[in-house]
Amino acid sequence: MIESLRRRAGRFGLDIVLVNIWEGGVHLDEAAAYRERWGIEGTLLIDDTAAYARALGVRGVPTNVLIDDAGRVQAVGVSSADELLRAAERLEPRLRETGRDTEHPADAAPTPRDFVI
Amino acid sequence: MASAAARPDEIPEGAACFITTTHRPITEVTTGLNPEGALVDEPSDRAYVTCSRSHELTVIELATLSVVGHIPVGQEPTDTAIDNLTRRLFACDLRSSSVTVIDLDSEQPEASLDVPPYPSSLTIDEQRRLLYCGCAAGASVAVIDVDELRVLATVPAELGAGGTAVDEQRQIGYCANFLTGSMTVFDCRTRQPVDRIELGRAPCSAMVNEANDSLYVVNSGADALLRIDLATRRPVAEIPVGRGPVGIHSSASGDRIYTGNRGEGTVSVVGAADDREWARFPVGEAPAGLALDERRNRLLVSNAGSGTVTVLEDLLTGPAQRLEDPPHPLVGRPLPPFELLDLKTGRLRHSREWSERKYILNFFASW
Repeated sequence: MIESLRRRAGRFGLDIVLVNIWEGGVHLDEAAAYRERWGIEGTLLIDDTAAYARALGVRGVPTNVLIDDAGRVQAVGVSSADELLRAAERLEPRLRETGRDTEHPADAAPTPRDFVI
Repeated sequence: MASAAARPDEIPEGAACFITTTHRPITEVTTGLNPEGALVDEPSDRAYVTCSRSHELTVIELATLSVVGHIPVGQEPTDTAIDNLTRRLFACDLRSSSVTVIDLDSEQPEASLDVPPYPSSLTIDEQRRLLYCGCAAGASVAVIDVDELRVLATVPAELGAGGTAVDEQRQIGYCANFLTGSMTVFDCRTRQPVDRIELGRAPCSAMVNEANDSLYVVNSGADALLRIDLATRRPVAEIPVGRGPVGIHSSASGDRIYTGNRGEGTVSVVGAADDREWARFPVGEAPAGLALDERRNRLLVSNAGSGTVTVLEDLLTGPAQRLEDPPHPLVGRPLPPFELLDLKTGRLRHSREWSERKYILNFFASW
């Protein structure tokens, strides 16, 4: 869902940046596998010590932080898919005009290959 | 690995040193990496914590709340169960598709059983001397004989087969399917599915609460705890809790249910009689599994993010007065700058690259 939203939001200049935290010291491997599994094409940053997450008061995952074009934080939390969609539409109202993109692999029904064994 | 505190009965000084009307924080014990689950063994007065990224169980002595051992298991353990008769502990290992069997007296691995891919949950059926193991990628429940240590059968379930529970009175087993938002109901005698319940988004852990003849399931994608009547096998209440609930446990009497809320670092307390959230306790980062030290009436919470187990005492006698959540302190303020590694390019990226743009930072973990 996050990648399809990123592609849709990107048409209006709204970017979604993934930040990987809390991987127990194997961030590069785990984040790369995650990107591959879910077809993530956007920016994926690594906060390996979670220091930046802690500085923002992030207490759990997923946590979304929405920032406006003045660099001010508009919302923190919004962890569920519905909540994130609503918050993204508040940040970029033109998102309401588009339908949900269902062509991305991340939106397809899961299969056993979605698991990293 | 050192424990965070060796004198558990003293309240630590500092910010966490307060007594509220809802709970009393005792301490945080540092464990192995990414603790996912916890289980208390009353005879030995110890807790066993599944540490998924250090592939071990951290052993905590409950009297002192100190770490006294580490037991190696398979790759990425998530859940545990104990068979009191044989004094065996079972741990399911997600990435090695196995269940490690541990002799509790020696605390040494005794055997490893192959199960279908991605085993993520365990439940003991004491009457039938069986262990049920929800296997997410195998879309099935493995049925293991706890005496002979062999897999007897697999019950077909659905993708994301995870949280298992058993209604021993009716001889009915349950398996929550995370990826299809459903619950497979199976007959423990025939080991065949007999029903399917629609649950909602991303159901995780499940448990039977005999006190009110109910099955509870956390719907992690809906921020809710679902109560299912065991007699009719239909949902009767959906109770809003904290963000991203994944872990579940009842109190000793069954009068309340706890959920570990991975999305926000809290534990919700829900009344069994009134289907209401009584209170929400702050714990460590990205909490998951819960366990109860009944001897001391303490709740143990595994925090996969912070690599700790929070130990606290629940002081509630009923619903607490609910204060409106204050807005997050960052809202309306400038985002603190960041400089973080870009996975794709290997370069450091600075927040100024996004200046004058709207954007969303999505903090996530792969687990």
